[in-house]
Amino acid sequence: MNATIGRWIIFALGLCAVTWIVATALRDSRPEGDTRTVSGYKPWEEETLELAALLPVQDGGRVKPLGTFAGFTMLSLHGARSMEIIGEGGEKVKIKPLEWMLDCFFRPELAKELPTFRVDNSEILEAVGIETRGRRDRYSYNDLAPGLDKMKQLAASYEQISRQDPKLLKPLEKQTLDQVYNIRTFEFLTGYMDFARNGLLPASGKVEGKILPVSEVMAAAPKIRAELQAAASGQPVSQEVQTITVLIEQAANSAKFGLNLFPSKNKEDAEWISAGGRIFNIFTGTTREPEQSIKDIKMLEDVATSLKSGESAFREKFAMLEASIVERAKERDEYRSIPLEADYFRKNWFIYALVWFLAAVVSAAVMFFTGQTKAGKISYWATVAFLSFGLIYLIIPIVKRSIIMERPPVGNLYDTIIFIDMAIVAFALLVEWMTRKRFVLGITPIVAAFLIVLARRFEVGEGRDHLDPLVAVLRSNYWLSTHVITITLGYASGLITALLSIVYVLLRSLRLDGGDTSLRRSITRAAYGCICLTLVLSLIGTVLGGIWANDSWGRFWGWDPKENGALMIVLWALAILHARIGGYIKEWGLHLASIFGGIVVAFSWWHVNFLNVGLHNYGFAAEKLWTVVVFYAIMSGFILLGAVTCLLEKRAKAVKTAREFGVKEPVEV
Amino acid sequence: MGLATSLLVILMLLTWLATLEQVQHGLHMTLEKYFHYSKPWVFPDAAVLFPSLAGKDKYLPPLPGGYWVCALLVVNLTLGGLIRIRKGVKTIGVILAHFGIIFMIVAGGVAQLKEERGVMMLAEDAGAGFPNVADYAQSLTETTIEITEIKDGKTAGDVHFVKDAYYRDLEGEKRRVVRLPELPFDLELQGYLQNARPMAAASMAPPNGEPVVDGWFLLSQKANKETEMDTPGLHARVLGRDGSKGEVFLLSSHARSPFTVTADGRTFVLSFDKRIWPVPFQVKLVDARSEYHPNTSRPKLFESDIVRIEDGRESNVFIEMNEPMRYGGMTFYQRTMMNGVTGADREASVSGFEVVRNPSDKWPEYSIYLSGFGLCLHFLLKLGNFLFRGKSNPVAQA
Repeated sequence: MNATIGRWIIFALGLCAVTWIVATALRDSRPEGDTRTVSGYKPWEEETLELAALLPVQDGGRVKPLGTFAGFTMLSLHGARSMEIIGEGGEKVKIKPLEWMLDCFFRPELAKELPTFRVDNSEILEAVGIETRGRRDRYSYNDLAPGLDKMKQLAASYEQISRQDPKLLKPLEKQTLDQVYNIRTFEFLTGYMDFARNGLLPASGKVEGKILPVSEVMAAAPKIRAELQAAASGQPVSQEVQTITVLIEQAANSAKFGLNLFPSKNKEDAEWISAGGRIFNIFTGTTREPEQSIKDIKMLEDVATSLKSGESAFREKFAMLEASIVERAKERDEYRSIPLEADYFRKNWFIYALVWFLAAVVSAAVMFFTGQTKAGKISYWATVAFLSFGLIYLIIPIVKRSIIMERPPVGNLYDTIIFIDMAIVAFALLVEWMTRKRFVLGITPIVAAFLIVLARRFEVGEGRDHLDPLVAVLRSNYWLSTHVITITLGYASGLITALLSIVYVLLRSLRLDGGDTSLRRSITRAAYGCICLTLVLSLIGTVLGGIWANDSWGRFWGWDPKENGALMIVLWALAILHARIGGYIKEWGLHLASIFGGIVVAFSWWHVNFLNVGLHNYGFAAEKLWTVVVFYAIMSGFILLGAVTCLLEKRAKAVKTAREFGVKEPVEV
Repeated sequence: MGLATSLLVILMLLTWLATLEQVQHGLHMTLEKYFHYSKPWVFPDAAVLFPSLAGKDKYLPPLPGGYWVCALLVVNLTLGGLIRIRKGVKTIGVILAHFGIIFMIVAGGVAQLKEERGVMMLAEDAGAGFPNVADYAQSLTETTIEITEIKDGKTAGDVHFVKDAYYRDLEGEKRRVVRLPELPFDLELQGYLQNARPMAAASMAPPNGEPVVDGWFLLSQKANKETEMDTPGLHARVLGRDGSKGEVFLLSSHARSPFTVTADGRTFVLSFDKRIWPVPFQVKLVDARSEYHPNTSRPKLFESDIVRIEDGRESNVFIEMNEPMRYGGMTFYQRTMMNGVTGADREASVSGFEVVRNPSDKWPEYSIYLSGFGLCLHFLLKLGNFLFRGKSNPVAQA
């Protein structure tokens, strides 16, 4: 095989990888299925959305902008951050999370028409008699309505089984349960403003058709409470009070979950209160700020009812509500990162990074075919520049996330993906700076782009906000910035080593190096250096983890799967280095072993999460394990390719030597 | 070097297999199997690679036991990595790293042999089921038979203990007589069950012909994956000095009901429970606090204010997750929090500390400073060498 064919093979492989990445990225960002028509749907005005995005709410244990809350809620229900419909006048409308959430709160009749629910297995709908389309599709609340009662009944029984042992649930039952949880979330959102929109309709009001705003009834709470207390000592309760009590309870319950909107004046009360909580507390006499509670509910009523008068009136009332909440949040020092966070999610940094990396792939391809010509040099520098820009577009969001979270950048699995992506690109540029041999520039942008797609996929799969605060045992900025960062850099280093070795295997097996031993030696040196780096980072990271564990759990080493995975990386790096010094492996051996090192890293980084044991347990669903197995298979493929090439080369060399010395070709026995 | 490489690869394989096997057999059982000194060979369960073979007792080819691989690695490292290695500026980093690793493995060995581990549960108010002040810890997995003399309704004299080393191996029909020279009787022990609970013979017949005592027998149950959840059981009988043999009686750490023995006119009470070991000072719980991230069930912090009382001197100490109390060769970790009887919603009033006595507690920390420094030094020297050589001897571009 000559080098030209080899180049085309590499090009084809690279093209396949990039096509897959681009196709996945596009598919993830585009809506699936038929575009639904929701006649009468009018998009929200841009000014309204800008205003609403910055409303602070408390969710997941922290205060965040409504935009973030909407984004992750939509992601968990819809499996994407946007949906496309045909709205009023037959126009295509792209609905983003904030718009969807405003619909849920203020236009629930339209929200119930939107294809909100992603259903991955239509069997769960067929089981309750709902008309289905494809196996995977999206459904509106109204589509699901005919079978909802039955589905909820089933879910209640599955919930009981799950309480005993979640492992007893069959996949279909688990999916039904999850679906019902999603439906419940949607019902909380769409029912949240019911009280504000509709008020109460007591018996006296029915005759005149006059509704009674909840805030007005709240003002009469002391009187109602007094009457109810008197009832305890035997006095009769008026019909009016009885009805109001029932209606108030209904109103409070409908607005109890979904949105914790009101911070308490008292800084020691960490929990923000929902509208339902405000209503409930005033009637039970358990609030220290009755006047503010009434004002808050009045503001919500004004916002909800103002929409009838047009969006500008709505905005005016919304701005008043927001200003009041922001002021209180600032007093509690909880508003600090809201604008920053809203900006972080608006900018879509990782998508830009993806674009830079894809650009780097293109320029690397040009570089690959143009060699040392002028075009080759230009494309070389373009690749370095694009990679650097990509790196910057990874560093910025990672830094922003750290500022928002007030902790070092890595605290959960999602964080590790983007951090490792950043580290791999940084290491690759470092290797290039040290060797100036271009060999990492072709493969790095592909891997970097792949990791961004993986991060997005993972985020969609989890459907939760990874900026949320950490559990007690992880709340240590000292250990997060030492142990976690070091061990994660160790993973990145292990992966870049495997990449370098894959480059080596491809160069030699496809004869791309033209027998240039200095190039081979450079790659080997770089791989060796990276193994050393992997060892240092993994060893220090692992032992620091042990010291942390010793301080938090009382044991240095607990044979927890995650710890074991890290130890395996250390042991493998040590084994490679010792085998090399002992002369048991040479160039080929080092590279094949370092590709296997990539498998060990994948085991430690991902596979152990599927085992569902230990203290670093992320509770992964076993059905996704195949993704890790595919990675193992690809790495094993490279090892096999390298091993076969190595054997063929050795055999060819032996034949050549035999010929030179006039000995007959060796005959295999 | 060949031996070192082989040992490292074997250790990696053992770690990998033990990681997979603990999913099926639990951590404690797997560690006993892979890394205990009594196991020179390990037969990995074939089900770790072929899940369809689960429970069929099929095994993969044997590997040397982890404890002995580590021991051999220490010898190999000492001989090859410290003694025989060429000494010089170029190797000083490696020597330091080798020394650090040896130290770390030794620390692990010392911990395995010497470490004692227990739990101390304290309540803010005594009477909530746990004491407010204690000077003892209860072992998590070890049991013990405690023999106390009773005189006039009160305990008298020393308490005698029979450690679990005397009966943990008594499976099936195996029995052992434990001589108690200071007491007027001996004990014959048999039928140890790692996880058992007393069962009324009226509700079910003994499945394996277990002895029935006063209508009860010990029903053996599958061991828990977390060994501390197991409630061991044991059969025993009293052997009098006159050669008389008492009836078999049951000891269960599940029921914890004591057995009374009368011998030589004296009365003794035998109880069976997780082993209690003394702590050389008293610990008093002042306040236990658990906090959750607002509007979630995600724990934010667990912390306790305690008073350490030693010879009448009192010291206030704060313990939280990631910040244990190290004192007098012991370490107290925040382990659990519970809402006591009087505790309001989510407000913890009982705090559980894990108490560990481990002479090698801080050794791994010292060793990583040494190894880390050694490795960084070595590889930085190499990197410098590579960079300067690379500059002075440029190679042609590809």
